[in-house]
Amino acid sequence: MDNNRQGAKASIIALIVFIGLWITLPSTIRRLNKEAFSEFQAPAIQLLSKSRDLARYWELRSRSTEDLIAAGRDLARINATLELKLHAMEDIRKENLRLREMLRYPNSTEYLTVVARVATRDTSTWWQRMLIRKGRNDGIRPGCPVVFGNRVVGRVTTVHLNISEVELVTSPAFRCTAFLEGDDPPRIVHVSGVASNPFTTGRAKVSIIQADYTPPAGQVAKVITTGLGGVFPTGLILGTLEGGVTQTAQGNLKEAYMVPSKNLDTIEEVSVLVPKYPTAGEILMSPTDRIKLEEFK
Amino acid sequence: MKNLFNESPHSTPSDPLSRVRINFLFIFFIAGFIYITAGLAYRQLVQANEIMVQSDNQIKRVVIRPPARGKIYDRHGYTIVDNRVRWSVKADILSLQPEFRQEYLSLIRKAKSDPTVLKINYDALGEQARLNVLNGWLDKIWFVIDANTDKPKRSKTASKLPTNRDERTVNRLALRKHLTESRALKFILITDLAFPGSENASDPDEANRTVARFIEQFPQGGPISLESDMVRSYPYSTMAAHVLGYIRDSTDLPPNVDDFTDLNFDNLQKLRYTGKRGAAGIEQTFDPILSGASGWELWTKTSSGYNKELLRSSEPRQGSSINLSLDINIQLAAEEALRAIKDSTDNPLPGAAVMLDVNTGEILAMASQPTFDPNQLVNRITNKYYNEIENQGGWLNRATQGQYAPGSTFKIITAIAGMRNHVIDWDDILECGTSFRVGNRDFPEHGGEAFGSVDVEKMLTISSNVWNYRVGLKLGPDLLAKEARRFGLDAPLLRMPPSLSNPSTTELPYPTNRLVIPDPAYKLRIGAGPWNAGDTANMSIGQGYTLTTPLHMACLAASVARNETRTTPTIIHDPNRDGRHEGATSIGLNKDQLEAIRSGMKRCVEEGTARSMQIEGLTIAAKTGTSEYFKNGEKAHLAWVIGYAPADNPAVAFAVLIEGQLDTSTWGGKTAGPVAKAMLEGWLQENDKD
Amino acid sequence: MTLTWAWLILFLATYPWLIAADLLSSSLSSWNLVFYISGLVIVAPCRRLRRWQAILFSAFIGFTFEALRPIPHGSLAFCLIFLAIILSSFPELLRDKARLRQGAILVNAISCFIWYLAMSISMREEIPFQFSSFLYNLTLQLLLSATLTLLLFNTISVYQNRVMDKLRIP
Repeated sequence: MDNNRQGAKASIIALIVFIGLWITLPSTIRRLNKEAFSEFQAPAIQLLSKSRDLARYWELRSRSTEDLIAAGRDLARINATLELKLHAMEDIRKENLRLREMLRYPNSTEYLTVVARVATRDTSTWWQRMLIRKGRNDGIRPGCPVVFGNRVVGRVTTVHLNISEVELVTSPAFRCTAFLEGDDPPRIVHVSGVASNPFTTGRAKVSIIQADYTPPAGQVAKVITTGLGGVFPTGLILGTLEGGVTQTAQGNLKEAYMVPSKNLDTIEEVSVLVPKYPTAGEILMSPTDRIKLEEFK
Repeated sequence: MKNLFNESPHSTPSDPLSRVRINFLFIFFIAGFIYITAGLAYRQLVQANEIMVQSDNQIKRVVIRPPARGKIYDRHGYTIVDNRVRWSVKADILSLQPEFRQEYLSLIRKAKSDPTVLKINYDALGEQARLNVLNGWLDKIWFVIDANTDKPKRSKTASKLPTNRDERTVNRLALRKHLTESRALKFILITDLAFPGSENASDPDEANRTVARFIEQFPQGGPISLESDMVRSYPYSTMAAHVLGYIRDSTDLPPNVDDFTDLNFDNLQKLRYTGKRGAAGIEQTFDPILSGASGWELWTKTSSGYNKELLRSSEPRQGSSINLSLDINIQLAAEEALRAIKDSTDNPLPGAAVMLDVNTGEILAMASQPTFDPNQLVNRITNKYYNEIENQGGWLNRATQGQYAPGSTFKIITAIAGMRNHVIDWDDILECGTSFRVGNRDFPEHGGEAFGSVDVEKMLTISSNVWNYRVGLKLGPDLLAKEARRFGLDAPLLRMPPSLSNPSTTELPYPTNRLVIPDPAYKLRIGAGPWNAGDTANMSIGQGYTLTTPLHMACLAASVARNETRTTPTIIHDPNRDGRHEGATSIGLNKDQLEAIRSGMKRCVEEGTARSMQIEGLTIAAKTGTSEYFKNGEKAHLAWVIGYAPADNPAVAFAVLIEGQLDTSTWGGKTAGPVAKAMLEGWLQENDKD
Repeated sequence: MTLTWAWLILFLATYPWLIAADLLSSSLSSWNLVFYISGLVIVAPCRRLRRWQAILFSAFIGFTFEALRPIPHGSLAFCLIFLAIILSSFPELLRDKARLRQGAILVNAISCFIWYLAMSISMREEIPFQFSSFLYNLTLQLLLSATLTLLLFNTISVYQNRVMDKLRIP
């Protein structure tokens, strides 16, 4: 017993020394450690998510043929309309391109779309995130916006080989700029997630709203991405203002809460928008691209 | 000797001290012990509170944060001075310490390995290290903001932002000052991100882009953060700049939202963020109202003087807003018309224009040319801009601070004085030739022609000088001066209403107090010798020593329009103003006499010297004036027009003054008339709306 | 040989429980609570494993929890290691079943509290600290982790003991 106790003392001293070492250790080693544990878990998470998909598949298999025929017919109709719209869009795209050339207007970021299934969700007071089943192998890079249709889900924070971590719009670490519907001329507002209490839907805070802004009467104002930051494309819906706009304590600006446009607790599939060329922020974050900063100078 | 050693036979060799000595020592120690215990007890029990407070004061500090200023509206509620969001990029010096240290060590290593360096200046290296680190961060910030998401090859040309801005590198002196004076606060790397160096203020879209790029792309959680506060913006830029004024940096912040009651506020160390104080115009005189109340934060501090932990805070409160009596439509019209009057080298001539509400005395427009853009002064006042405006003479509000001879507009006073003192009546006719001899000198009629038979009405229409010489000489200087003073031509104006503030202050800062209504005593006082008849003749046509301001002349016009002697002008809008004017009495003319004055002024516009300002559908009463003054030692002309409209039911009164040049023909009606006309048109438009 | 790697095999055997807890968090994500069991799973093994094995086992459990979450790296792992040292050095603390259960509740709650506190410190820039809401959230989180321990500890410890029996750990 005594032996044990002495051993405990030694172990605790060793632990303290090790913690000290851990803090002074180069961050690469800590990152490596974290990465190793992430990669260790990735297959299990993949497997889990895939088995859920399989369950869903079998559930669908059990549907009657009539149901499927009806669903197929509906889809065909939607497809036809979309096809038409697509043609119109192509014309608009060309015209837009021409006008941009004429005005020498900076081109907006071009994106590649990667569709990914949601593996697990992980929410707490401190974070609101999800794991998606695509990773570095699929070309996803940290910082990429994650959307569902024309609605913003969040932003990729960390990328592993086959899974990625996505910070949701309601997460306190999420930052974005936006325009408010009904603000003319549009002025930039700041959107960031807030710490959420248990059993409530996650919300984000919209701040730096100019004092003379009033939401359009009779409807909930949408919060729309600016497309100016070089990360999110323009015109995506971040969410809607909830419960009106209130004056800050200082009295010269307003703020409001925003609920995400898509119920982030039930979403099953998302698209990751990967910019064709790395953004400046990305270059700044990745140590290998330091040379570019030198070039820029 | 022996005795000495054997003095105490009781003491043993091992105990060299006597009992007495032991007792003495014992008492001594006891006393010391009691002293220490009592002292400690006293400190603990009695002084504890005081000492606690002292130690509190040593580890705590208050950071005072400035509030946003109140807005300024025009009489219809349009915002003419607003606040805009200013985004600043700041660096947290405390969390940068490790980086500073690392850079410092590497600099020392470099210096040591360099054989050309004989003596290492460690202080300089430390400063250089801090500069290097901060500049490194600045590079990164600008990289994120400037880099284009386009194809890499186009990135060089597509950036519209200016590339050689001050804030691309850290100012060594600014950093040194920050570290010695306010190291606990964050160091400002970029003051105004969205409006880079406001000289090249980019379009709002570009401003938004800059901010958005920083927020969405710059790595979070580091020592660099983006903070927003409110600064002044003047949406109409130069409009009414002299009335509105401008602001400057100040660490003399307004009082706090609520002073601590449970904390000894005075004894705590205080740090202040730089706030803004009004430096001219309404911003200055109404600063106590506009400036609001400061917020505060109570911090604990580290031993090296940085802020450690936020204990309590209170948000600043925005200042109250002010409704000015200005009408932006009339104001803009006046300024545009003033700008359009140019000299032979195509530069706008200096001038001023004022329009008053006849009944209330509220100032509807007050313009002064040349002017400045208060937006340029929001972040800091650069020497370059200050000198530029200084050389043009743009800081002077000519409407309240310029002193001018009123010229022929003074003839209204001469006529009123003549009739009140029975020197002449409304229907008396004087024969006026081409000149009038006073003493041994000929005083000429203007334009060199003879007007023949002239009564009061015709005199005001054609502005006969000879008529005024004759009436003025009959009156004498004292009666003329008395009449001018009765109309308050040398009275201080724009006194602050007692309800608002100290009534000895004025609504606009520093109105001129060197107004002159001359009389013989005055001439003696300034040492110009005894008064002579020539002086009286000059005075009767508003020349000579008489000095007044455009605002005074506008008040004169308003007074005549109301048949009163005084008008109290004000720049503050009050819908319940009762229209009473301080010290105002009836002019004291009979109906015919008053009618002669008024129809003379009306005919002045219809057929006389003020024809240039005719407006269809509006009868105007006006009097023009052209006086001489010396500009840089040379004789030049001042062009005046004062009046009111509509002539039959006066609503607004105005005065316009243009400082002319000698080489151009600057004449009252011709030069100043169009400005008055533009103001009246602006007023008509506004009236049609209601 | 088997004994040397026992902790790793035990960790792999325990891992499905952890992922099951994550799955539960995921499907009840609207609760905004983490179904945290990483603390309780170290209690039973610490009683039987040698100290260094217990340390390695707890470290792995800790790092696994941290890996895909933005927790300050190492905070939970080191907390679990510390608890493992205590548990394995003073087996008398876990003498009987009742004490074992109390210990599990305590260990789970303490480690849960530690990562929660570490988060609140590392996130103080984003989320201004509000004591009342912090306390409320923390209480709920601790209550949940304690409840989970009550519900699951028996099953998990029986399962882990059986695995350890299989590994012939004394």
